[in-house]
Amino acid sequence: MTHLLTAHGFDVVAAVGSGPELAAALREHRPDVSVVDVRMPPTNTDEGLQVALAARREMPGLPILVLSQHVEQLYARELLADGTGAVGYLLKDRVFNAEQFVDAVRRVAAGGTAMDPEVIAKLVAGNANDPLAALTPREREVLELMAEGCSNAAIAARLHFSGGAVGKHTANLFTKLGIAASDDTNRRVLAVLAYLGAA
Amino acid sequence: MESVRRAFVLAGLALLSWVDALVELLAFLLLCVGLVFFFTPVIDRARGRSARTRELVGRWCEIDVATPYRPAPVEPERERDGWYRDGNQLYKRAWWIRWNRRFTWIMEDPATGRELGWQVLNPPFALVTALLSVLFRRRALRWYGRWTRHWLGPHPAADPARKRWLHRHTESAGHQFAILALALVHLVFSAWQLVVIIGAAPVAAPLVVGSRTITDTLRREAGNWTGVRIARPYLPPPGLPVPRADGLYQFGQQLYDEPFWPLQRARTRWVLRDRATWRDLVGGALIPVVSLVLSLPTIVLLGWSLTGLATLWVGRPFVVSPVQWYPLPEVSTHLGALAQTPLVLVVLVAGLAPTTWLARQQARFARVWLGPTEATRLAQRVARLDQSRTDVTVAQAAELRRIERDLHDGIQSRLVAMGMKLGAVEALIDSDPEAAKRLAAELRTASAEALTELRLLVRGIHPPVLSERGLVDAVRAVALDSPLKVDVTADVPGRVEQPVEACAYFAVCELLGNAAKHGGAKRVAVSLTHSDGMLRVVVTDDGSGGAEAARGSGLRGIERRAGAFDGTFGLTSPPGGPTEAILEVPCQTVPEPAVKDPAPAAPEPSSPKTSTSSETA
Repeated sequence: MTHLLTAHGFDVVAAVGSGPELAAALREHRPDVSVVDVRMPPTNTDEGLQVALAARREMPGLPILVLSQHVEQLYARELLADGTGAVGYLLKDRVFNAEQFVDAVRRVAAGGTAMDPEVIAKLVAGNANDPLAALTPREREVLELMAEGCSNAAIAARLHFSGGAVGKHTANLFTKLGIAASDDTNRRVLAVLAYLGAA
Repeated sequence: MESVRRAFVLAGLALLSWVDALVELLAFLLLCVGLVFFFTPVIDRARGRSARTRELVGRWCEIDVATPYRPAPVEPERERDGWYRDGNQLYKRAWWIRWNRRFTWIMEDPATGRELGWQVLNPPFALVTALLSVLFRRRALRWYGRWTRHWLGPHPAADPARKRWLHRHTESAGHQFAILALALVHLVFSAWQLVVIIGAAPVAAPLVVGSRTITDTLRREAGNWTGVRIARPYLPPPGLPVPRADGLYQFGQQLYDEPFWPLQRARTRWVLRDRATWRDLVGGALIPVVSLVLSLPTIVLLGWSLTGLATLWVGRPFVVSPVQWYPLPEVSTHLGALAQTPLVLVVLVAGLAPTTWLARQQARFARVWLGPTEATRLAQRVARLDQSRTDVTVAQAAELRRIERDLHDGIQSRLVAMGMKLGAVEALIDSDPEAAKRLAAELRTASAEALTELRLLVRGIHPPVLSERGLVDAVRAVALDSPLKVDVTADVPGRVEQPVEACAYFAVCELLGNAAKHGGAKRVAVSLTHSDGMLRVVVTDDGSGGAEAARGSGLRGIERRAGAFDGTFGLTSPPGGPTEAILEVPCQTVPEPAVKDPAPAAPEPSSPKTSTSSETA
């Protein structure tokens, strides 16, 4: 992991192996982004996630990307719950595809979100929870990609339509989900939260 | 003027229901002499009349009355072998099952009873309303609408806690007499059993087993009426006889060619050696006596006061005057009767007051003889544990086989394929780098697929959330993944034991899956509580109901899993819902390990950098 990140021009300040060490490292360095495994010693339960959540409570908006062998909506919601963005939650397999993974790390560092497509897919398979029922299929697609953490430009590229159209869709989205106009990054996070049914 | 006309039309319609009531009475009399087929159509026709009334009331009285009936029974389905099955009976055609289900549906619906009452009481009320409508016009129609809604609208069952004192105690008086009546029936059957056991012991078993249904009714109803639960004390029946190596069947020192006689003898011995059989007989002799003694105060006081009221207010003015109701003095005037009435009412209340307590005492005495003793309880428990142990080992073996198959057919073969591709990459990397790259890309997707499969398998064995977070959060995670709207409420201090956790978790998964698949539910409520060393999981859905633990293998699986921990699984699912499943497993909790958070240090601003943490990178 360290090799991969240094190869892509990151400066790794600390690599730790247990929950308490991680908490200390986060406090000491306040890294621009940290990559955390959910399961860590000493308990080998969800130590990593708990430390990440505690650190973000202490230092709101601290960018953290959580990696796990399995994705759970429950964890995704907990990470997104504070609404400050700059979180990611990915399957460990995503590391195989180095470009995409590094891209996700950069997005999180920039204050965006990077949610694993699996989380998103589960949601789509699941219920159309109420505020989302009002969305058109196109808007849903846009929101899905937004939840994955794509920027407007990336969404436009993925869905093959113009940037202006994406802007229109996102604007409609925000009105339909009842999200007031404020800082755009935050609105995106809120939209994702609504999507995850937590808002 | 229009409202007067409407009121009189409604009254005319109401008068017709007296005709309905008469025809129903005739059909009932025919039913009593065995001509059963007239009853259902007659009731159906009468329902048409009340439907018409509901419709007119909705149109004219501005009060909407919903249809109160339970959902109609399901159509019988033909099995694959061409038979129609109802319980343990096979039929060639469906009409008999259909008729039977319709009959049960109509007879069990409380709305049917209310409708009968309405047919009798409504015509006079409708006539009075029609006369009043000359004065009050539309207000009178509104009254009639409310009255109709009361009788013909849906009626949620009364909550026992909210019933009035008089209602509760009158009901209990009824329960007292009902327990007494059931005890008398039980006495008759006990006497008959005793005669057969003494006179013809070899053929006693079928009769004893048949008579137990009567005793079971007494047990069940006593529990329903008074809250005193009486468990069944009987030993489990003997298994089928197993032939020896030479094909003969042995019982004692006797060999038989056929399994019939050894089975009969084993069953006879099982019945006669079961202490519960004899305790039932003793109970048959004692319970009616004790029940009668406990009912005496109720019978005497209620009888005296009700007859007194009838004498004072019906006999005196209309039949003969003066009257004397012992031990009260003679009266002939209204004033005298009025003076005596409070005393009679006091006696009536005094008769009603202890009924609830007395009914409970009757049930308690019945429990002494019809309930299990400590020894039978232990014997039953041993039998249950034996059964659940077998179940658990079988289930475990099946589970291991499934895991082995999944690993062998799925992931193992994928890994083999990946290994072969890697070999190909190795060979091609110098000669044809392009093809090697393509292969490497394929390899990556293959490894991702293998991981996905492995993830699913792991989740089936023991979901990671469960080990990471414990039961409550695992259930929350499942609730989020479910296509239904699931509300989870939890009150579990700490974490319960791991095996119980898994049992409860898979039970919830199964129930949620069932609700989504069969129940047609939209909302589900899951509640997890732990108190007095007992974990209670309650799953309620708003689906169409009609689930049976006996029907679904999944539900039986839950029962088996719970049984392994000495837990119980109960399911109530009336047609029309809601379905409520309750899983209770005795277990201990361990307090949650707190995540240790070292003392916060002073944060310092820094240059761009990253920290990574992972066990294995």
